[in-house]
Amino acid sequence: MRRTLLLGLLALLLGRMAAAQPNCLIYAAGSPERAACEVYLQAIEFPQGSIQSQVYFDRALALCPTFADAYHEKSVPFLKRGDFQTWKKLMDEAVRLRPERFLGDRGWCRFKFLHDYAGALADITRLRQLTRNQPGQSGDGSYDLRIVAALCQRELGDLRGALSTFDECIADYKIKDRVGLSDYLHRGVVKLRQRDYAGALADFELQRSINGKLAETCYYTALAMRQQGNPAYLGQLQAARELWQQGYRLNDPYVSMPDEISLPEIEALLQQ
Amino acid sequence: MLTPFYKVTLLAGWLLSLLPHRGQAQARGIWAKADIPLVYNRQYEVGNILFDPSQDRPDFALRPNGRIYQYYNFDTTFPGGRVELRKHLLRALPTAAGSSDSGFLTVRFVVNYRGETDRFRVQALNSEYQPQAMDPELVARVLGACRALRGWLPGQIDGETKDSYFYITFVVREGHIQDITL
Repeated sequence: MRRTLLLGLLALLLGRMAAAQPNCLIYAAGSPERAACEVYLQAIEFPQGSIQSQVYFDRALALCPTFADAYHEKSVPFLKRGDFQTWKKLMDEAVRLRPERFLGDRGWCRFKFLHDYAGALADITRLRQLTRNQPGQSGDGSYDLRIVAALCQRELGDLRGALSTFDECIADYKIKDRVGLSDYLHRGVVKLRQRDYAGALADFELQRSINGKLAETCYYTALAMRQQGNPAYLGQLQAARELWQQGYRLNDPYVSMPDEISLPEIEALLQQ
Repeated sequence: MLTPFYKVTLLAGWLLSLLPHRGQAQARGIWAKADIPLVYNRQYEVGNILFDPSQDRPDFALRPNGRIYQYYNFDTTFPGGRVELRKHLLRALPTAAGSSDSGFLTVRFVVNYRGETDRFRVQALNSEYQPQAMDPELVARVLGACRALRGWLPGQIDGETKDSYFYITFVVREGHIQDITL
């Protein structure tokens, strides 16, 4: 039993690795897929966004117009450089060809880069249907895509729906001891918006058990305590400021993250 | 002795062998690098904004090597960070009625090594990510708010500030700015 589990885990890991960089040997020698895959591997040797890499992706697609990975990888620099029209056009092709592989990436990027919450939720919902409710992780590995769906619901104003989705995903992961690095924080913010301050504080406490050093946890704890009239909130704000200045905060190289806070926000509350 | 028919077949086969191979040769992956013509500008990258004298400042200073990085290469940012920039822009762009436009308005520009900006470009898309002309007054207000931003903090490499691209996306709903992503 134990061996079967280990082998299963190994197969899963290998599968994820193959998704990041395709294994061309899985395609028949001489097939258009094998040829396109080999050109794809050459394309990703060039800097992302360089004309050389783009030309190679085009050549891969000329060899095999159904090689979805090339559409996806070709789309990435357009996303990162703000050309969302071209990104979406290419990404749509990748999704059309391999929905179970690329719906999650498209949904995650719509959520993260464009705050297109309705579009992202539609993509993740469809993926959940295709994957028996196991849609996998966000493109950067930060979140289970069910948590992203919950955040979309939250931002669309459906707080009860969001909470239910958070609860379902966290309960599933609790069994596996794999709750995400900021899942409790985001669920706590839903409860804060619902004015369930005790519930929010309980989640922020759970967040500390996952990641003890995060400025946002202290900041939102302070907000909940302040609403309860607890003067200890000032200590939480001071801790938030210290952690923020030390770099212990939500951060992303591309865009600001959900529930990310700034130093002036902490200081403004300290001065009130 | 070969009949004329075979001679024609052999000649055709030889001629066909001169054509680029599909299948076998590609499967070995031996042709691609030498086969792709390098007639394009090898310095070009996705998203480059070329100088346009009709809208760009000729005196906008850039580092002489010509390389313009992306903001995420080294954290080009705004005083207070992106969270503060978003709040500043939301305050600067109050709700205005009069248009039914919905979609995404992306403003992209260069932050030079001195923290100044220019080479602004705009992409307006509808909610289906298709190009769409938006209310010129709304576009002008958004562009004006972006141009008015001062004090950028350019990213650095080995202690030297560099030029980089930056962009801000405005989520437009029925003519007003609903959200900003950056």
